[in-house]
Amino acid sequence: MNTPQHIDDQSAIRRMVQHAGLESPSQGFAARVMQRITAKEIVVSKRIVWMQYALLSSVACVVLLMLVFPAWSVIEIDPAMAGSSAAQMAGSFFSNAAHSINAYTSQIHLNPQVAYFFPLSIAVLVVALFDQVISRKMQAAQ
Amino acid sequence: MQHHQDDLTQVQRVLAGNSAAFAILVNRHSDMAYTIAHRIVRNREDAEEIAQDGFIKAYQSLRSFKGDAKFSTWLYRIIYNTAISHTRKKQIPYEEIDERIIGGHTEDEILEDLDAVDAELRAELVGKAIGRLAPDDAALITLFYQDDHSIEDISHITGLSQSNVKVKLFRLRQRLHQQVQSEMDAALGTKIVTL
Repeated sequence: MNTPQHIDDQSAIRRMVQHAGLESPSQGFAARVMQRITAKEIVVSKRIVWMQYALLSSVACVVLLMLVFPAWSVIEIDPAMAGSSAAQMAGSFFSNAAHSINAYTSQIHLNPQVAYFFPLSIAVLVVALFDQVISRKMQAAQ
Repeated sequence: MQHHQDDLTQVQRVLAGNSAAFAILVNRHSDMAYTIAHRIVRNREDAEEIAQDGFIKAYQSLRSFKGDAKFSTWLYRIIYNTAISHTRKKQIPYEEIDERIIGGHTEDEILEDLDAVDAELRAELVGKAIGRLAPDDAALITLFYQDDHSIEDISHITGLSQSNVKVKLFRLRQRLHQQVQSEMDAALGTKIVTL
């Protein structure tokens, strides 16, 4: 390339370009950016809370359905149970679960009546844990 | 260098949960971010929208910023890419420069002429000349000559190889020289010498 020497002069062209100066956005630009960031964060938090509620409701529904229709239970598939009362089915579900847990804990000779409450206790703990997480997220969103 | 270190401190504060620290980064880099966007899209509203979107994208992906490059380089890459994809969607027209037209003035003469006019007109003339370059070329000139970014930084921002950046800058110096002269001639009522 046959270029005149003066065009290769970096400082001259730098000086020329710097005459244009930097442009500024309109007033309150930073505030608007931060406002959009905050708005997005709240939307995201709300979405998380809703997703957690949906998950909790789904888990609760599945647990309820497994209590009412033990034939659907993944623990004990028993189509003969379909005609029995809800209380019987619930009792059967818990006793089946208790038997399973008792089988695992028999080595420490745990009382079967205490073992019966294990699935219920775990369910209560899971619900309490979800409740804690959800309420903390709600506080953070506010 | 001092800004670079402070940028990293602010980034760490944001990542630690202090989202208000991001406002410091927005205030510090908003002019350059907006200038890059405006030189590429040539429209104030679009440029502001792109700069805002760029900052929000940067905030959302701040965890992916490793700190091996300067925060400004990382941010301007986001702004540059957002603005370039905007021009591709909108097909923003720009004037192709006829490389056969060579001005009859030296750069020193142009600078003397520029110095003679008032600051506002001077900024307008050079701004117009930069505005006549292709959008990505205008951003390249701005990054190298106005914000003193290194070839390596510009390569990172634009995604071009370092040798490509050097060649482009060399050609752009000539083009910008012609454009400033052309703008000066138009402003001062003289004619371009065509060879």
